[in-house]
Amino acid sequence: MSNAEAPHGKSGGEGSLWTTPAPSAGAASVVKVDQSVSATQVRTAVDAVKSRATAFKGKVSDAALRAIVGR
Amino acid sequence: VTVHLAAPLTLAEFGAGDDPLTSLQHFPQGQYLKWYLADLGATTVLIEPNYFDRDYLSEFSAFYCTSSAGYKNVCQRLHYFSIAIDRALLERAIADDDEARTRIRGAYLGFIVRRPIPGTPFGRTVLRWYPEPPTALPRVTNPARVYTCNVAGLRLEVEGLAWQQQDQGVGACATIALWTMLHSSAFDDRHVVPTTAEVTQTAHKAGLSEAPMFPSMGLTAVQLIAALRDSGFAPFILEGELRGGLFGKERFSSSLASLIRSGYPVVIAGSLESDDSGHAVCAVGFRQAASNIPPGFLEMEDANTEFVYVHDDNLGPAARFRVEVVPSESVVATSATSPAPDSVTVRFDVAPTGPYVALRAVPPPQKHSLSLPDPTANHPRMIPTLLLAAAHQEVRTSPDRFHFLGMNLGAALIPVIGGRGLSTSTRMIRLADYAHKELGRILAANPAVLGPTRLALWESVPPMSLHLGVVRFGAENTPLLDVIYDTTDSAPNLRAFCYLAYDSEMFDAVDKLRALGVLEDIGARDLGVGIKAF
Repeated sequence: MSNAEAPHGKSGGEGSLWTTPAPSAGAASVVKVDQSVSATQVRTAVDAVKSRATAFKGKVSDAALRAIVGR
Repeated sequence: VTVHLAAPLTLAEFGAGDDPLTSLQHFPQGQYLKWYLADLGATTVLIEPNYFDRDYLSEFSAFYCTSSAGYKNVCQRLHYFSIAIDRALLERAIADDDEARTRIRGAYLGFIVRRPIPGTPFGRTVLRWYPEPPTALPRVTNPARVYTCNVAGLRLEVEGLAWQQQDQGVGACATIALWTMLHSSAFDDRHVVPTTAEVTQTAHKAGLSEAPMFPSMGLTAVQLIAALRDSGFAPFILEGELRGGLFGKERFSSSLASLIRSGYPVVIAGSLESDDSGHAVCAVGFRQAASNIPPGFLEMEDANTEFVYVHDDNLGPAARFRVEVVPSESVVATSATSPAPDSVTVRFDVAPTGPYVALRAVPPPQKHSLSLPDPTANHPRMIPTLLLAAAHQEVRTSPDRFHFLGMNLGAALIPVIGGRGLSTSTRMIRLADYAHKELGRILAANPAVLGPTRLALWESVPPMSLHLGVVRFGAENTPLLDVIYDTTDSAPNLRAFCYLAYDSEMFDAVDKLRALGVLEDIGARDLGVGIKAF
């Protein structure tokens, strides 16, 4: 699966970022830093989400502002 | 001369002939409210025959008092309970008998104000939420507040958010949606909620509209924004990012969830599939989605949101709507003036550029045993094109900006943590609530870390804004990193105050990103003071 596309599946799993506590003290890390990663690799990863991130640019058209939004 | 006369409080069995709701079943809203109350286990209705409602009085003075119909200015208020109540029990509760009072208050389901307007009788209504089963993914209803009623000295409380039917005289659906929005708990401390008549009047100030004020024929986004500003709020307005103003699911659900989690209800404007007419509703809650990340993937956690709870003046309060995704291939672009082919459910001047969001009313599994028609059966799907929310006046940063930052920073972190999948989610929160409630919950198992983390926020970080933007990252449902942003600045100057790492490797990952010198390139700038919350 590519990061260029958002998933549209149903939710799964047993919790969320707003309902689960932080890892308890002394627990093994769930991530591991790769010290060999380069700036180019990071920029490539960010480029891969460019089209998804663009959706959040938040432009509002004049037509949308002037339209009746409910009767 | 006719004047109002004293009348006794009366009790009736829920759904019986003398329950006023029974005579209102020809309205879709009446059917919905009966279904909803039946699911809550309604058993008894207490009828207050004379109740002066602030909103109705405002509508009355703005419109109905000059009608030749001779409408009254007094309403009925109907209180519903989940236990059988007779006059003796009620009188004991009113006399402060502890046992009777506790029973009645515990069984209170909420109230409906019945306006003396035959065509649009449903006034301000607040009903309790459906009971929440134990779940790791609860309903998020942060905008809800507690409403207190007083009946002969008996205080009754219900938590919810006010809904009412549009009367088409003083308020259209957009007016009602905006009115609900301003009832949010987030605004308890500093604002007076305007009435529907005041919303309409503000929206028709000079230069804003050429349409007559009353009867209200609908409002534009510009008018809604003017009404919000006039009431002392900062508007957030989000247009769908796809062609035609449609929303993709990732942006729609993430934006909606972020705003509601922040305590801000959201007006959703769009069109109805049935006849392509404009409509506006107010989202007041959603069901928390779960993380479900494939390796290497950056997930917007709230994009998984499946259900939102909507106050729809055509239906009722807290109606459950499923967020559906319509494949763009299923739609043929047609002229807005040509008849829609059978295979086309909604008409567009131009074809959408991607799968888009539609909202369908879907009631939860029926809990009652009555034989009632499904009030959502013929309710058309809605195609959202605009989201509008009111924030505190000093909040200037849109959720779009936080999602943009979260997307870029999350994508940058993934290679640094060895290609592990990450999820991200955002909200706005008061500094005091973040330090007290959120850190108290998230670090409940780490008391040795909680105190130093809270102190670091006060002693190591430069002065922060009253409202914070929190961009959270995690894996396997577990929060690993919060980046805390200022909400009071403009987008080009936006800066993070600090970040809290809940995992030592995540702290090191941010250090690694800084060392690589890429933060500025990806639009994340400096991340502020690092706090070790592990």
